[in-house]
Formats: sequence, structure tokens, C-alpha cells
Amino acid sequence: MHIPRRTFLELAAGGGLLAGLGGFPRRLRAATPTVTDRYFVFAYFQGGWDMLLGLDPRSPDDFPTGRGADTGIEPAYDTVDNLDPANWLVDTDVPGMTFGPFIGDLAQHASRLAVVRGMTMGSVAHEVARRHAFTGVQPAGTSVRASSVATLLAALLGESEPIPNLVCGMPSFNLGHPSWASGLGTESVDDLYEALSPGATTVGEGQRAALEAFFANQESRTSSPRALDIYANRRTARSIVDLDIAATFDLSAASAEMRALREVFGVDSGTTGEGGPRALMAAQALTHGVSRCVSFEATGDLDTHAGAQWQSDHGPNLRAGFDSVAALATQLAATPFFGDAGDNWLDHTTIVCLSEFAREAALNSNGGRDHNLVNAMVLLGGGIRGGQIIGRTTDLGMQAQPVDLSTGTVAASGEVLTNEHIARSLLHSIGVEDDVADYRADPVLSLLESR
Amino acid sequence: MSGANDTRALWLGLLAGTVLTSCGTGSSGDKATEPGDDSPIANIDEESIPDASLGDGVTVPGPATPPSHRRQRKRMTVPQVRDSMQVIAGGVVWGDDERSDWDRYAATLGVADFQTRTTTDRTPSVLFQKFLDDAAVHTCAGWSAATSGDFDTLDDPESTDLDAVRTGVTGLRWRIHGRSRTTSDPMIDDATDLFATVYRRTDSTDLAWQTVCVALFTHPDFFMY
Repeated sequence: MHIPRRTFLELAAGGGLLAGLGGFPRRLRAATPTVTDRYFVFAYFQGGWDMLLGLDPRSPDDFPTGRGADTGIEPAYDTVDNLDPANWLVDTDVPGMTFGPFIGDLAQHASRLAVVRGMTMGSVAHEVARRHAFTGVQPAGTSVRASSVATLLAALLGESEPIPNLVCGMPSFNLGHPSWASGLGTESVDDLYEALSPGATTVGEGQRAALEAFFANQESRTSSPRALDIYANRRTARSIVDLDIAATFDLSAASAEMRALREVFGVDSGTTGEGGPRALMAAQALTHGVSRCVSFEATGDLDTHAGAQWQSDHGPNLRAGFDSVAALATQLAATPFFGDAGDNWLDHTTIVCLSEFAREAALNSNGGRDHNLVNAMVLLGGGIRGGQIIGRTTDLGMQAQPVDLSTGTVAASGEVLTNEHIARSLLHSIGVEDDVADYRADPVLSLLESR
Repeated sequence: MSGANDTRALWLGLLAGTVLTSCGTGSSGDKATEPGDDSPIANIDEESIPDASLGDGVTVPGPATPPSHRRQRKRMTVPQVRDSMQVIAGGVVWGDDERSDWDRYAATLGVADFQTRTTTDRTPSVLFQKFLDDAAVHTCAGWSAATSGDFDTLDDPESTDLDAVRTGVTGLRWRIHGRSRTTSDPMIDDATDLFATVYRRTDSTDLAWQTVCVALFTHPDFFMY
């Protein structure tokens, strides 16, 4: 039977029934990116970062240690191990853009940075909050309700790259998008290299070809979407080996090119921790045409409730993550975009640095910091209007404040920024202006370069 | 059915769906979101709704809805696959004697550590199938070597008689997939063809049986249940 669309919508709207029907009819969305030469990197800082040590500092002159009860804010830089007072606050070339002592080399990219301050997260439970941050949608308990933003972007931007969505050291989610857009996730760059390499024991070409024919027969005998997905994944698993791209990620290679890259990313010196090799991986995946979106854990072990741990580990771990991202930005800026000397990869790559939440502005009774809903984020690169700070936390307890989305300034009539706003902004940056992922938040236009 | 009747049936279906859905989490509510084949809701052909008014663009599909009448198969966990392969192959370990490569790649394959990851990935992902293929090739070679090529299953591993091969394939499928020894299974035909093809190309029954072994270990009938 044929139901005219107009009749159907009138009936559905008249009855107010669509929401009660478990998702029926299937949501149809028009989504065509108008910007197709854009790439994305998500650098995740695991554990909840300390804004005062990085993205949103305060002067100890105004907020002295031990006076937290007055303002709810204690930078407490004087309690951090081996921290020279001369480095407590890091000024940049951008007037008014000052960072905390562990911003590292990222401060050198100040003119490209958009720092978002005074955001609010939906949870202070790690698993819930990180899933919210990755997907842009508040989970139901720990169950994600949307795909990772990287998955969605990869799905929208097409499957021309062999691994559209590369992930290292962090989870990735795909709810209802094509399987080729799923994150190909490994825990380390070494594992990625192994995944792209033939196994230690191999079969001959004749055997392999016969196996492929066998599985083609199996696939032809099924019509189940799930089974077809399994066979598609199997084909992809073979194809990524056949592409012979493993060497791109062989960080131990003795070539002059790889030695130079290890130097840029601090791999041999170890200054960037696990983030350095992963950032190098991201640079290789993008500039060699392997991936459209890359997500990686830039640093970990930031969940420092204990005072001794916060004083000794948090800052250096934070700096290692920022240094990894800075090295990535430097490398992308120095690499011509597909060989065009007048263009570079950073201008085509949006880098998003995020953490699931932040840490309290006041020290806890152990001298460490507990979880805080109020957070910050930093973005740079293609599509991002750099050299600016969006939003501001209050000087009483570092609370979030509403922001005018078009100017980025604090405004009572504005909105308090959330993960949803950022996710929507990223889609907007590639010309997808409809709310295709149902974020129900407007884009932060002040964050974006005008197209 | 006339257009007016179509509309009436749709109205009734939608109203019934609303009433049932609003009844909470009981069985009635479940039925409301998973209409049977004879439901007016199920009979609406989504493709019949013109897309013109939605404008140009690709359609981003919603989450796939599993069939309501049966459970979706699940992938084995990494420990299940590791242990199954070892038991089936008489103790051959993928990796070295100290440590299985399944354990080495556990984090990459999404095994929960209950610190940073509290759920175990059970998707038949690209990486899972890549490493499964590596494991199968290694295991089948080791299994063949350890059993003089008979895989603890074949009566005459060097025979190229198709009936004997077919019997051998059936036995191997029974051992690896736990599927009954039926002879009318199209997969038996395919695996027998696989043996014949590889034997033609390599002149080696051992390589042909190893390839059949790899095919069975990497087939969804092994790792999905």
C-alpha cells in the first residue's frame, strides 16, 4: 500500500506519535558537507585535567594557597614539585592569552589556538563523562546514545581513505553508521603496525586467493545485514594488509625520515610519553592519505586525587600531552598539503584537545584535586578561528558562565557551553548546518573561521 | 485497499502503538515497538515516502533493528577464542610458549581491564578478524605439524579422492564449528572446492588441509554463537 508522504506526516504530527514509536519511522537526515578537504584529530587527555595548571590559570598573587575558603580557587603552584615561580604563568603572543605552568610547547601555537573556558560537563564519573565528550551526547548510564563525533565526521566525509577513522588508546563508538566509518582502534602504534602487517606465519598467494574465493561464496549465501557486515570487515582486514602501508607506522625504522620524525615528536627522548608516538602516528595517517579522522589518547594518569600524586605527576603528564599535540601541529604546518608548497596540512586539519572533565579549583584535604564539572577545551587548525579565548570562568569557584555563541564573550543571554555545542560546531565547520546528530545545541560560530 | 481505508488503518495502528508504548516496560509495551508482520505499522513502506522535500544529501541511517523473533548472535570473547583454538588444535598456542598473542593484543582487541575499560568489545571488528586470521594460519600450521597432517580428524590426509576429502571436511567442520555431520551442507561443498583448488595450485594435500582449517577457524560459524 502506498501512503503519500504528506498524508503520513499529517497523521503522525496530528497524533503526536512519532516520539512514542521507538524510533519509527527511521530518522531521515540530509547531510552533505560543503567542505570536503577537512581532516580531524581528537587528542584525549585521560583522567580529568587540571585547568589551573594548563588552560585556565589564575595568579597565585590573587589566589594564594591556603585561602581557598575565600574564593574556592587555589592555583597552589607553590606546592607543585620542582616548579620555578618564574614559570607559574605562561604568557603568549596573543594579548590576554595566558596559560598555566604545564601548557608546554602548545603555547607557541597561541595564534592558532581557540581556548574554550567555562564549559560544563554532564557528569563527573569518568566512563560516563568520557563517552559524553567523545560522542557529544549524554549517555544513558554508561550506554552511549550516539556515535563518536569522529565516526560521524568520517561517515559524512566519505570512505576515500583506507582507514577513514583511526583510533589509538581510546574507545570509539558507531551507532548506525556504515561499518567502514567505525574506528579502527589499537592500544599502541606498535599494535597498529602489527595489524597492518602480514602475520608472522603466512599462507601462499594461491592459498590466499582460494580463501578469498571461499569467503566470497559464503558471503553470497547470506542476506543478513549483520553477516554481511562481518564479511565486509573481513575484506577490510585483508585489504589493509594488502595496501602495504604498515611501514608508514614503523616507528622503529632506521630511515632518516623516521629518525627526524621521532625527534620532532620526542619519541626517543621520552618527553612526550605515550602521546608522542601516537601524535606521530596521527601525522603519518593524515599526510600519507591513510585516514580522515584520527583520535588518540595524548596522555593519561591525570586522575590525581592524592596530593603527592598531583604535586609530582599531574603537571608533567599534562605537559607531555600538550607537547605531543604541539609537535603534531608543528609537523602538519610544515608539511605541504598533498604536495602543494603553498598550502599545509594544519590549515586542513582541525585538532581538538579534550578531557572528560576537569579538576576542582580548590585543593582537597589531601592536597590533591577531585573531579569538577566545569571544564575547558582547546582547538586549533583548519576551520578554527585562532588566537582567541571563548568564555570565562568566574573568580569565585571557577564556575561556568553563559556565552554569546556569535561573539564568544560572556553574556547573560547566552548559553553555557557543553560537549554538544562543540560537536555541533565541528559539523558546522564542514558545512553540515542541519543538526544531523540531534545534538540540540547551536554551533559556536565565534569558534569557527567564516567560510 | 482504497486510500481512505489505508489512512484509517494507519490511524488505528498509530493510536494502538501509542497506547501500548505508554504502558511501561511490560510485554505489551515491547510488542508496541516491535510490531508483527500483520501490523499496519509494519506495512508502511518507508521507501514509498518521497525524499524530495528533504533536499539533497545522503541519508544517515538510524541504528539497525535486530529481528524481533530471534536473538542476535554474539562474538566469542578473546579468551573464549584463544582457549577454543587451543583446545581444538591440541594445545597449539598462537604466539610463543610464554604468552599467547591473543593476550598480547588484548587491549587493542577491547578486552576489559576494569580500570579504563569496563566493557568487553565483542564486535567482529576489522582488527579482530585480522588477528584471527593470523592466529588461524599459525594454529593450523602448528596443528598439522603436530599431528602428521591428520589434524586428529582425517583418516587419510594424503588422499585426494573427493569423497574422502568431503568426509574429512565434514569431520573438521564438526571439530571446529561443532556442526552436525550432515552431507547436504553447502559449506561442505565450498570447503571441498577450497581443498581441491589449493591442491591443484600447490600439489600439497597438507597445504590444502591447512587452508581448509584456516577457512573454518576464520568463518563466522566458529566465532559467532
